[in-house]
Amino acid sequence: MSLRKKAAGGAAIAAATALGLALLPSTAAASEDQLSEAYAIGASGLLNIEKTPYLDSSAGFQEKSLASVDIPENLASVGVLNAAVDTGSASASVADVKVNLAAILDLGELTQLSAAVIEATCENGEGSAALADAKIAGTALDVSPAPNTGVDIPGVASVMLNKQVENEDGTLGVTALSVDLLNSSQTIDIAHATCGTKSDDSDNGDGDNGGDNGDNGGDNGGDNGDNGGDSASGGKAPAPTPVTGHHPVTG
Amino acid sequence: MSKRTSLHSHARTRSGRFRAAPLIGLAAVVAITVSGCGGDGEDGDQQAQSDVQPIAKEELLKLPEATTFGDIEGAPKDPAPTEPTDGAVVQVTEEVPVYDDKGGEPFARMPAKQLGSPTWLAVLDQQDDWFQVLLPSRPNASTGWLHNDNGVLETAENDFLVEVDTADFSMTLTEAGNEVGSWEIGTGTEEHPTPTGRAAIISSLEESVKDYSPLVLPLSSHSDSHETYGGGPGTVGIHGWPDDSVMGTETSDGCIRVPADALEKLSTVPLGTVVLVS
Repeated sequence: MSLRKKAAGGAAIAAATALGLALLPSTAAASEDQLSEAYAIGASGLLNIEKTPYLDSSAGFQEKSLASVDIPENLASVGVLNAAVDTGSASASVADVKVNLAAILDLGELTQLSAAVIEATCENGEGSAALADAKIAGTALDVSPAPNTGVDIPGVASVMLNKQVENEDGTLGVTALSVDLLNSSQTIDIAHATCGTKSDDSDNGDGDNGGDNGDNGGDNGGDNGDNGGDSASGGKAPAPTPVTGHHPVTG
Repeated sequence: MSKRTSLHSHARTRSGRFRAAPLIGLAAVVAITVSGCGGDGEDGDQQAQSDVQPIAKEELLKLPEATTFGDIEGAPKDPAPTEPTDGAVVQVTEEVPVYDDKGGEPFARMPAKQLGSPTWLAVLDQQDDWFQVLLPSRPNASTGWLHNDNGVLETAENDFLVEVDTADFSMTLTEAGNEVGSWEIGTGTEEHPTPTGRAAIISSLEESVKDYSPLVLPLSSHSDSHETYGGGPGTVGIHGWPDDSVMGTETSDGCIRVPADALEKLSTVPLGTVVLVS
């Protein structure tokens, strides 16, 4: 990755060596893992919305939040959009969603879809969806729909809640709310997360496994042998297990 | 979570003292509500176990997330932003509500992860099963109260403290009051100063995109001058720098730049470690 770049790389790698971070094995391990991905909203067909904000786990952990996004006004309006990915996990959410299917075709009363929050989560190959104040055509939707809960608008549209699809690479794709109009001539996906299962050595710092972090080479065990990564109540706080990833701090 | 479930757990948590079935627990809670605060004696002891305002999953979902991306107005302010804590930290093992007071109203939700790391928070105050913690969300010095419902919080003691003096570009790391190291550091410019006050380390990232530092330690604090930065929310961090000539200078956009040996030591301090910036 960029840590291999020449520019400033020498100092970074020297510092990394001082830290005992085994960069190359860690990077190699990340590339072998199944790729996670997440986006808050995407649509294709007669009207297109690029998957936004789109993230995949090729650089490890990343998270993004957008206050708004440009989408065709007559199709939908959304509030804050979030997406987060890491090796073996992904999540996405959208707040204050309103979708007007009448932008595509006239379905009369059956055209309004709204929710305060729509959220998809994928963790170690298992998916879930959560919806708050969600309604389609005035009908309230369950807060925790079972996988692949269909809501049909006969003949023209189908809405799938907690749509779960197993991909060819073995990852699971979870879409909290997926709209399919006129045999896929228009699809709208709201809150999507794809993840695989974590390999044994891709520790993401769950707090209870500080001892087995092979890819980081025991970099933080020495000074805190009494902590041992064990977070049992009342003990000493554990040394952290660094997570491979990126967040734009203020340099 | 239903009200009944919550009250049941309350009664169970205190079963050693109340020896009470859930229904009796409910009666006790109602009595507390009616009598209000400020009692003493036996009643006072029970009142100290402030009741938990139950919240349904759907309502919890609608609350803003207390993460570095959040901007949550109305959160209680840090009561002592220049003081060290007593070292207590809590891990949030699953998403919990954040309340504005013990037994108060929920105003945010605290997820189990912060920037990919498990959520560990600095505890500012503790009363029974209630913990006042430093929030990772904007504005700076925001706090909230968490309730240890059914053991969702893991408590631990943290002996480490990081003190930063921006006036003389110094950082000191102590463990149980003993100095582990002291270094010259770089800070934010006059235009984009490193925010002062009490912050905490919220994550440990082995940086995979930028090459200025192998490790980045994001803090709970945010730049007051950068509303956003690089597509993120202006999170302040501690990290290394390829060139030590920045140490002793005001040249960052708010971050704290430290030499490699400081970063090595800091890489081992627990999440939730308090960083006092003056």
